[in-house]
Amino acid sequence: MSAQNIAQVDYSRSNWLPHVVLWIGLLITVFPLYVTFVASTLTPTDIAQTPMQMYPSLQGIENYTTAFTTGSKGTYLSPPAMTLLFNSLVVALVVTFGKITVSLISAYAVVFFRFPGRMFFFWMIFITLMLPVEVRILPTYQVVTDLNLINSYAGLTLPLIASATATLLFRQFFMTIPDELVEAAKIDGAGPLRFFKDVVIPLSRTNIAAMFVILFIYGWNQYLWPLLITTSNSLDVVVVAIKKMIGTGAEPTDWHIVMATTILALIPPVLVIIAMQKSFVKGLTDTEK
Amino acid sequence: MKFAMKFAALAVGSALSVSALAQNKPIEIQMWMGLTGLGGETLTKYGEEFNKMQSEYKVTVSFKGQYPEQRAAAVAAFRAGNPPHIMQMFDAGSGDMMGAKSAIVPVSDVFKRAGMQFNAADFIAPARGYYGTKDGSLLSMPFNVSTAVLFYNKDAFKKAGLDANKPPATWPELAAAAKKIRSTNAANCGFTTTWLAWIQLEQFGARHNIGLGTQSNGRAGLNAELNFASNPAFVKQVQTIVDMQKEKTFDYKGRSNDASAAFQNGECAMITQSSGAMGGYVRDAKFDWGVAPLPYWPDAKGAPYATTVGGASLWVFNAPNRSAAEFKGVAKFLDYLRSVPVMTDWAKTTGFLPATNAAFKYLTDEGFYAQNPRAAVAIGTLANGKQGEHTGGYRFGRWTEIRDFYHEEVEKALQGKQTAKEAVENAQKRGNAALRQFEKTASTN
Amino acid sequence: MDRRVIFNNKFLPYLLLAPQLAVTIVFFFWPAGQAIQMSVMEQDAFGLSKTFVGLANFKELFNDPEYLKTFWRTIIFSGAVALSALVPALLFALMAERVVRGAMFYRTILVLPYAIAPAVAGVLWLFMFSPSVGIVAYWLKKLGIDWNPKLDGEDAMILVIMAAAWKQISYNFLFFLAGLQSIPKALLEAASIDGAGEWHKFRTIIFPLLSPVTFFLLVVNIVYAFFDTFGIIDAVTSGGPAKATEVLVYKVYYDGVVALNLGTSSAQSVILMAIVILLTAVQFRYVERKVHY
Repeated sequence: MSAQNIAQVDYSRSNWLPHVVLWIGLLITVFPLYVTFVASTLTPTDIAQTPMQMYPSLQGIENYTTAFTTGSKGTYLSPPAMTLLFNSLVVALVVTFGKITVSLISAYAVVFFRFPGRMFFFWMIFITLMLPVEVRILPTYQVVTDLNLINSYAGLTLPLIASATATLLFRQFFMTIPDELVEAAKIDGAGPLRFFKDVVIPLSRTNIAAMFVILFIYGWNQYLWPLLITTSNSLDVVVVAIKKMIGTGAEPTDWHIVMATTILALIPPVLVIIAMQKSFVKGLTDTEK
Repeated sequence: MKFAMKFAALAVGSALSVSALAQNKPIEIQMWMGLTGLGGETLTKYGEEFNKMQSEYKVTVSFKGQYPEQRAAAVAAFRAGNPPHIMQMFDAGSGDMMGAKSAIVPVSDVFKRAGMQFNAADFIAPARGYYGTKDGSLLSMPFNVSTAVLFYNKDAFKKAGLDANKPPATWPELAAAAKKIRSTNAANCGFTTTWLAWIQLEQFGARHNIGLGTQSNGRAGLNAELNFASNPAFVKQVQTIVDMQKEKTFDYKGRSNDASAAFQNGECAMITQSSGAMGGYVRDAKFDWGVAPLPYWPDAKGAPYATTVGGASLWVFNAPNRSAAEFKGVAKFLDYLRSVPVMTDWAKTTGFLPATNAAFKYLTDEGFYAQNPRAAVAIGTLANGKQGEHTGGYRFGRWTEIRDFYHEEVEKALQGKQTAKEAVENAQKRGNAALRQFEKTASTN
Repeated sequence: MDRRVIFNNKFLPYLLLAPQLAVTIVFFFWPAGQAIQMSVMEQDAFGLSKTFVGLANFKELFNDPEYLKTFWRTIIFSGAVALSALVPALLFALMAERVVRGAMFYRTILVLPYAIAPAVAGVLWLFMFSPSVGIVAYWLKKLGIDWNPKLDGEDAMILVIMAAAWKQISYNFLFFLAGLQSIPKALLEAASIDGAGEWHKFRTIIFPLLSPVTFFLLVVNIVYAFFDTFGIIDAVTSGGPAKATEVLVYKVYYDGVVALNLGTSSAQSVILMAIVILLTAVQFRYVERKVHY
């Protein structure tokens, strides 16, 4: 009787406590985004009011139209958000598909073949795993210019493909593919390319989806590299443009346009992560664990 | 497979873009600027107008970040063999540019090569002195000329019971006014400043005719040494700001131009700022405001002297692959920018000073300065102020970095982590270390 | 780490590896080599004059109290970011594991910051905490807290830490949640039957079983704080005031790109590369171990 009571008390307590804590978590997560959203719908005068009002207004429609079609203070500072978003999309997609393709086949080579220099090459790739482009920024810039790729989509994207994260993740996953499958394929007379196409790729679907999310976000969110490598702002990506619009100028920041552009910049990666959440979570935690 | 296709597509794409470039008729001229706000907007517009006027050249004016970032991007691009044709470089970067002789083409030469007339004497004297050489030619073309002034909020002055037509002329007066503004709560912030080093060190030095370093303020040789810390006036100035900050009559709002917004939205009642900010305030400030000369210390010998020139000039980069036609296009565009209509429009729209004598004369004759006394203040302190040995500006290498040393050290003093004296001394010490390094690397080329 | 059954082909593996090797060599080894070369040279900003100076740049760095301070600052910053991103993430994961209703909803929202660019996250926090327009700054003022990240180094540091941690909680949350879900339910039920309290269960069962994940996350978070926070710092403080938020990677950028002090900047790059390679090795050992059991 009494044990049952305790269990009940315990049950009900653990019922509300997690929700309270999680709501606090939600609040912390959402509040900055909400403030941004509200600011994106106000006039500059409203934003300058302290405290700023905490509910959106209809001015937002005009702000978003301006941000999308004109940009902050006309085109001199940054092109309209539609150009920026397009550039970001190109960069994100090229980086994503480029890296997935390159990584899939190189991981396949390292795992399913034995050849002279295998470990040497593996380490060569692996050593680049966590080295971000920020660390070697100047020399990389020099190299990209020597290759005449400055101010081009190729210059924007190719150096970002040079990292081993995806290769390593695919390698981890490939090593879990049972030997029996390879044996069966060999007995069937399937060559390495057919095995890759018919077995490995379908099995890797979740991981590829997870990598798609990770890399899309990685590519979309690039900052320092695009900042240095583009010389005309028609190639600017949205993240860089937002920073450029902020306030170190001769006049106060156009926060309403900056905030509207920020919200626009958030939408694609957020949509990707929400739409592909399941496979992203599974792929991410399964491979890295 | 997919991969091969992607690379093939990339290769074809870049080949196409190369051939497209070859077929393009107009010669591309890249200009990088470091101006935001109204100034940036207006300068971009000039590029577009130039393109409409002729079809031989196509000028692209792009914003690459504020001056320090823009300069960095341009130097990186130069090293990579692909600098912009024209770069707008702020005053602090001039020493570096002059140290890199083979990286630039003096603007006088650019015009000479293009067979166009160019006379350094056409530019106003303070700018000519700053960007010129001994033989009278100009290294860069002065464009957005400014100097430091005091902007003050007349509405806040009235609210505080101060005379709105009698702005503070000296630092003690300014401190008293700020105190009054705060005690009457006429504004949330009494006084702030932009460009800390430029105004409180460089302009301050000129205003009191005190040098920053040896070798005629660095103009006479690369072995110049900073010696400003030995003059108590600089320490006193930092101390004044620190004291004002303590009694909450001064608010530090960051480096560069960051404080500007705080004046424009009415938060701060007074700001020492570049005169080039005027256009923005005219357009966007929603209160009555005035301009006054930069304050000085009444006990300083001979003060006030003239302020010195600031702003930026246009430099022409050299690069191995530059054609004569490109240089000609550069000369044509610079010629357009220095023309009287553009210069006068520039001065009227932005509040920068006209860089040429002709434009200045035109504006004066037209009565612009008579009708706009606020715009006349900057000209008054810069060109018509009392000239002294140290009002003509300085020329040190790596000055962008040295300014940041000064910012950092003064910030530490404002945080209460060191005294004003230590701040000025540390800034000088670190500055001298940078100058010695500059001397080592720059003197060999 | 080797498979038993493999394919035999002389050329195919090289062909498959070629693209990855090409990008790695061109965009990693070549620049890295240049960085090393530049780190032993002294040169002017424009690259017009170069002199070989041996290890002078490194010597100069380690004799520079500012650089050593930056090292410490980076360690404190990374530790604070890791801690403030790990603890709440663990708490949220523990709670999320218990809820039945709305689990998906909570997770979806909590994951969002992962998608947000560091620079943009910086902008969001900058805006909320901006002394002139920020709503949170306004509340702080009401509470009588003197908040000025433009001047006060500690305020600035707190701000970048918060922004950096906020973004990283998502990632940690997902891993903790996955880790919790893999803990056998029977184990916890058995403990409950024995009358173990929540805290006791956490301490004796959950936390030990989570320790591999925690260790992995710790390395990931430190690497994140070391390098991926560049955008946040640049957007929020640009390393200031008075270098109060300048971490190692920001200093490489500032010295190299803004101050154009290429020799010492390259020397710093080389040092950072060594640190990263070390951290990679640490993490790799962990990853390998995981695969084996």
